[in-house]
Amino acid sequence: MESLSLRRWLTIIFFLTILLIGAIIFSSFQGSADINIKDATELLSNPLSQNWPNTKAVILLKVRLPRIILACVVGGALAVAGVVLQALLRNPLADPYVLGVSSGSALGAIIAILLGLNINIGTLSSVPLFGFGGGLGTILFVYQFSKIHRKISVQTMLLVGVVTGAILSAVIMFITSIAGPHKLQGIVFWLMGNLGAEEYPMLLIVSFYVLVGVLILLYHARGLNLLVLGEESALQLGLEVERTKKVAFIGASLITGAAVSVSGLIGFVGILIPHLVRMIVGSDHRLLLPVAGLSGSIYLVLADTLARTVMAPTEIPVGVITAICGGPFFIYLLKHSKKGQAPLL
Amino acid sequence: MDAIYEVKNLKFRYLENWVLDDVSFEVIEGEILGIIGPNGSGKTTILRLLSRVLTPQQGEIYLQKKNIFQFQQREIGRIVGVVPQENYFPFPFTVGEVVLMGRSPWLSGFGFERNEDLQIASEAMALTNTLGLSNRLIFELSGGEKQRVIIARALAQKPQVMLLDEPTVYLDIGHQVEIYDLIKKLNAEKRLTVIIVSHDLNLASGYCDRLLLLDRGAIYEMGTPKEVITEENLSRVYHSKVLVEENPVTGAPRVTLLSKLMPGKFREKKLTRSNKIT
Repeated sequence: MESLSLRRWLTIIFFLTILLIGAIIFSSFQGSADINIKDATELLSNPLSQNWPNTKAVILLKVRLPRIILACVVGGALAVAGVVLQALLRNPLADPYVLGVSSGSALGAIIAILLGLNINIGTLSSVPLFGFGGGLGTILFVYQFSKIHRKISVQTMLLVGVVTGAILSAVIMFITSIAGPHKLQGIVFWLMGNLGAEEYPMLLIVSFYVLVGVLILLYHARGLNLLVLGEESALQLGLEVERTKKVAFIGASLITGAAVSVSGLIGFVGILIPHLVRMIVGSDHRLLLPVAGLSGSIYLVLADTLARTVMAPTEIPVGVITAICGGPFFIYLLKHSKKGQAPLL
Repeated sequence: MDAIYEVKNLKFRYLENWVLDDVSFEVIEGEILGIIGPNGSGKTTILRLLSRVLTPQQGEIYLQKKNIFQFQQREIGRIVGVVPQENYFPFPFTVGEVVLMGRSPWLSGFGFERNEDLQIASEAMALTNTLGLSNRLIFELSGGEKQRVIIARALAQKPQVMLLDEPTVYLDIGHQVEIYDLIKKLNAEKRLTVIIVSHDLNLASGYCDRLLLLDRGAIYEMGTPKEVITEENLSRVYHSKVLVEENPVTGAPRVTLLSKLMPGKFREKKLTRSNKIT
């Protein structure tokens, strides 16, 4: 009988990590400014050199690389959150935005844009901070209202989350409708999803944060396998169900909130990647979770590369690329794969 | 013979009505106990309470002489294996993966299965005749195959007690006998205590050492099949006329349901001529 072995796990993860690094390197060379390998190696071997053509260094280091890293982090966060929420809600249609965190983060960010807040804490800009605050508030709210007799009821959580998300989205729509034209542009642009906005300090914080979140969720991967069977069976198989539910909800929501706060609403990663990966590697979350994370990163890095090069110098919102490329491909795979078909009952 | 479970003054309700009302009984180690009773009498609820999925509002449950609430969830998973009645898998796990989940109470941390776990899972699948299904997806299987896989999962836990909720409801007669024979064998060879909830009175009567007849949340009768399965008990509890005779092969009580459409005098005649168990 076959089972997931450490060797197989390491092989797959290693392979994907190499792919990710490849995608990052590939993406660094794409763009309207022409930077080639020779330039890049010169830069890397002597980052502080005065001889380096300065504009190219600026572009690579300050414009492209942060963007690529952000794509990596956001893609990974959304994919992992998607996997975890699908397990928690026992529903393959769940995506990271279903429980309202994304709407809360969006609202926070939009309020910051609307009020033109320029409160910078150190070098961190206020928009993502407000976004994160909004997301956190939403998480606390949904969490509190999901409890029945001090235990989390997943059905209640789903209802509360969806309704909360809808209400927050309505508020966002209201704000959009009364905003002046200048602010409006900023708001809409933010909502469409944008990977270009962040600088290194915020980037590093978000990366670290998401990484810790993903690792904690990874530790509970086996628990997610059991949770999917239903709470009764999971309990009978020895799982601490309440703890796993809490970690799953809070972990997935926090990394989603962080991702949305820095990059806006990028769709199609959180629902597409988990499905795709499940079709290829199966439903064991010990493998599914990290593979989805890495795949999400690769996907978003490549999608963003396309978004900023295909109609250069105009930038297409990356959410457009993820939907247009991902959707048809997914449908194709669905038709040709046994594993992708959800049960009829 | 020790009691592996002691249940004292158990009271439980989901909403307002008491589903179990002051229930006390013991399960003897190594026995096969059948829980029978009409729909809604509390049978599945008892299994849920015994596996600590539910918490009783009143009363105590002792597992191996220790209060069940003093165990960690994992410890219970190592002692009690449950085969629930309904099993829904929203995602495509393979049969092998499902059976290996039975090893979960014995794994820790990230939990890659060890050779010994694979071995135990294979044995469990061999016992339930499901080895050949190992790489199939769980939702490709028929109801009966799936049921046997779930039983294999429970066996993979290497439990000391197995709780089965209507284990043969989706099985054809051949598989029904196969499962009950398997239970009997495990009970005899490995001293596995078994508690089965069943609607099939004849199978229960044939294989169980003792029966517990539940009626609206209370114990109506508990004892050997001969003591519990009587026309009087069954007709009172199930509100239905039955004929109870002695099974010519096994000697256990055999239940025949009497249709209400049968002409009255024919029913009376049948009753007086039967070998009634007294």
